[in-house]
Amino acid sequence: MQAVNIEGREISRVFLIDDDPSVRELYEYHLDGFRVDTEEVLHIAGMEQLLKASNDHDGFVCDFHLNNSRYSPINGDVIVSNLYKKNIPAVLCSRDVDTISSVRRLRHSIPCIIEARNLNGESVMEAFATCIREFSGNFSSIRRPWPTLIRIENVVQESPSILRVAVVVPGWEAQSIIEVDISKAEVGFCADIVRSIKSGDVYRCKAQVNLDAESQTDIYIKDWLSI
Amino acid sequence: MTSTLAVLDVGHGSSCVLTSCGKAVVIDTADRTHLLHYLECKGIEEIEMIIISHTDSDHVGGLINILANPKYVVKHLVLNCDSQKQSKLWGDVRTLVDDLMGRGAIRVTMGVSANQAYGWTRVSDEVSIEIVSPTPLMALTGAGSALPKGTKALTSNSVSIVARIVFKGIPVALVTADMDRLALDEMIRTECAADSKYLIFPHHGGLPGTDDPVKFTSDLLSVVKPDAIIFSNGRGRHGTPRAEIIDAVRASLPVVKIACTQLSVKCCEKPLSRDDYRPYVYSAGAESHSFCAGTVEIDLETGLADKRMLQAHANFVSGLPSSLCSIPVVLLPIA
Repeated sequence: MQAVNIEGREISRVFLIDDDPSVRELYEYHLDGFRVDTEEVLHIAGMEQLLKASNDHDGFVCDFHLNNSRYSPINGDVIVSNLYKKNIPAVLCSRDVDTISSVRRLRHSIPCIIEARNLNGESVMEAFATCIREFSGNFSSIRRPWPTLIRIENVVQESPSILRVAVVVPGWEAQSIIEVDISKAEVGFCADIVRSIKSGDVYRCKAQVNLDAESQTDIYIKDWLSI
Repeated sequence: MTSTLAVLDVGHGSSCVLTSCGKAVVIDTADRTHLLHYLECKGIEEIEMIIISHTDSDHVGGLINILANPKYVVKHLVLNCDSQKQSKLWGDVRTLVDDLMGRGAIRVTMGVSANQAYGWTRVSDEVSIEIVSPTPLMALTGAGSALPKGTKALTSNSVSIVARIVFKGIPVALVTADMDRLALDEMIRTECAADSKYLIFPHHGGLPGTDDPVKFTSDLLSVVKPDAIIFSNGRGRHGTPRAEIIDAVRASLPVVKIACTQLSVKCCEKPLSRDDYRPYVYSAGAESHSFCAGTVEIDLETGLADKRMLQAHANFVSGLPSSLCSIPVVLLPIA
């Protein structure tokens, strides 16, 4: 069995996830020069199926937009985030991910997003290395989480499960407004946020943010706490 | 070093860390995580006191990240409120301070001015802090109003807390934040003692509002009489230090030593690789080769900065084709 040693872990197989077979083939082509087996994922029934089929020696390359077809009931950001939580390295691949607020909700567990045009074997292996380093608590400076204050300035959208808010992270960039989704199941004070914004106030709370991030694309916000 | 003053390289902004006999005092926090990185590098988690000079984000922004971080204990916060700056940023600071006060986790002193007796200004048996500005008259007037017989309203910069660091009775450094002409005039009027070996130049070497920068500089230097001047500047932002300020410095004090924390674009358009030297403490410009002196740590007893840093800085500046300071950068000991 062939394998590549990445940060002390032997990676022997890379799963390729995309609802377009020709794109999966393209992924395969990019990884051709590396000593890993590739395996196209032809259909996704759910997260459990993927976790069951994979082990410690696997990695994933995963497209973002998946759930608008029969291919998968879940999107790539959810897949990559769940794999990360199980210490399986995965890279999210997309063209328009910068503008998608839902990704930011999970960005802390999506270390690497590669634009389709920049995807190649080396960028995938480097992304896997970043994931594996983070699994042992070794964060690069731009990914390191710090406790800070969050100022919520507006509620952009509300659904039964998600609150999309416009926030400022004053300890990062006092002038930048960032949109982020908050899971109502995970954050217990969503009703307080809505009440405060409706009354014309801002709402302040704490969270963990990678304060050394260089751009909004890289910013993540996690572990929300009320003050 | 048992007692040191570090002027941090934070890019554009200000933060100084004073340490003496195991105690740490911070004067301004810059923005973002610069101060956190320095504290981590020095193993400091308990901060005796943070003095916030005024409410501009490049001086106070990082306070949010300190106060929100449970790893750090801040015992005492000293600041002047500023009704002119009812900014959301200030509201953020207020929220965190109010939360900590409510839990009895921090002591807060507000309304600070010169010529008052404060117990907290004595940092250790060796080191004390003297508040030089705002004068009581300025503090009573507040930002937004003009002083008696004055025509110009005080600004947030005018009422910056200016602090003099004194070691065993010898003034070592004057930390001036963003003080302006109105503050300087008050210092001159009240004949306050402001002489000091080191001057951390006001406003990062930027213009003193609409006032004449040359006159401001020469008057300031005649009051402080420094041997060395440090500019806490950011490369590429705001064009600091301004050439007219440096020219005025050289005209007033031809042999004064000058150090900028970061390499001004005016001195060198592109950052230069510095393989010969890497700052031994956190410097914001280290990774990007944007530093000039980087963070400057001064031993308060000898009045000297680190020899390796001084040598590297002197070599670097002398090798620049057109540096603004272009004079020997060797900081002298206190006489």
